Amino acid sequence: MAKIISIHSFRGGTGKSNTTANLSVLLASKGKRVGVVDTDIQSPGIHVIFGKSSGDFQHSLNDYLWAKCPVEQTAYDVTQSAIGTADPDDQQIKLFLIPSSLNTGEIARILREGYDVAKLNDGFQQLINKLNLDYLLIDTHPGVNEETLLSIAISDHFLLVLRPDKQDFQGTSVTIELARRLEVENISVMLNKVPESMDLELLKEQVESGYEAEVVGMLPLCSEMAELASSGLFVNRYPQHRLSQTLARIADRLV
Amino acid sequence: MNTKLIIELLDDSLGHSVQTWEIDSAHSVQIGRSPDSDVSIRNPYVSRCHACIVPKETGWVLNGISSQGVIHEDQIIQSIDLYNDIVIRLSRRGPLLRISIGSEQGESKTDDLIAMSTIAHEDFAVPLLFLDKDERDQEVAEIEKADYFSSLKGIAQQLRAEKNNKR
Repeated sequence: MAKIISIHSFRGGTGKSNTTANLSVLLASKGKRVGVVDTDIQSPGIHVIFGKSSGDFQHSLNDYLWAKCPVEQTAYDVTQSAIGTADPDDQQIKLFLIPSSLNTGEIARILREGYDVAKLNDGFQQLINKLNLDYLLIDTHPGVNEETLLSIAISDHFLLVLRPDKQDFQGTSVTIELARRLEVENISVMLNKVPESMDLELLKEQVESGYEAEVVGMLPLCSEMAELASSGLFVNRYPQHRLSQTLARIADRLV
Repeated sequence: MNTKLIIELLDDSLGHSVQTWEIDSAHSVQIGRSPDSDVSIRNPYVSRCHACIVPKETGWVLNGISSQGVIHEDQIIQSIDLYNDIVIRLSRRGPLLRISIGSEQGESKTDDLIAMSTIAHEDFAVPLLFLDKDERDQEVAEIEKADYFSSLKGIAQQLRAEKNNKR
């Protein structure tokens, strides 16, 4: 049975998309079929981390939402570029990316007209069935809007990414409460961009008791990630780095 | 006679102590952002010289100095007699301090007039992650009232039921 994992942040800039992309690679590397959907339709970008540009895609999630094509046509097999060691014929290791359109007209249309959230939900289910997925990762739009709430509601696991920052801390608490009311079974928290000087134990304690949710990982603020500037997959570039190892432990928890 | 003061800087969301000053003193104690203060607190809401604690014949009195005020039980106070475990806030949005008054014990660490030690964290690097639960609950209630939220709840329940059937 496929698992749906939503990755969310209250605010932008937390490293949510980078986290999603790297976790998807780690999960697929375990011999799983994984799909990553960019539902951040208003400010898409996860494809960049996979080394893709808008020209690489003929269709996007938007086309499916406007009923221009079936949803499986918006899925792109990125297994070879993301997991170089995978045998192309190995059907058990697959990574698919479902991008959102970068076209500003498309983005404006979504903002102007909105779209049918129920159709998005159908799309998720069809992706799971047609691509025979083990995991569907949803990269959500920051804040709380309808499609984000939908993604949360249908999640088996809801992972929140935040920085050790007052505003992140307060805002994230709202989303966690909403997820509880939507009866999401597994809610966990990842702290990102934690300055080296911080007392990690104290920080973890503050967050866990404030949210009554588990902190599954604390990732350091690191120059290697900043230098990569979203132009690649960190876990591939620096597999031995402490950050990659923390991400691998988080991936283990999501399995 | 009470001469030992323990001043604790409290974590706003959890109420536990994140920094402690132990003061054996018969003299006044300066509290402020200035590094020269006896109790020096690096917080933008704290004035350089925010308050002072002065010994009386019996006990201690805390006097507010900063125009940002010292808050006790939601009131700005000019001056207050200290009692054991009193909690005050330095300015409306500033940090909380808890002050305990210990009776002088024979094993008093030092005979110096003022001896301070900073336990816990010398470098106050962990931010005060403040969680306003009332504000959170209000926001949650607003969202929960919306029609789409209850329909989402329905969708989620239905999908879960379908999944469980397949299992």
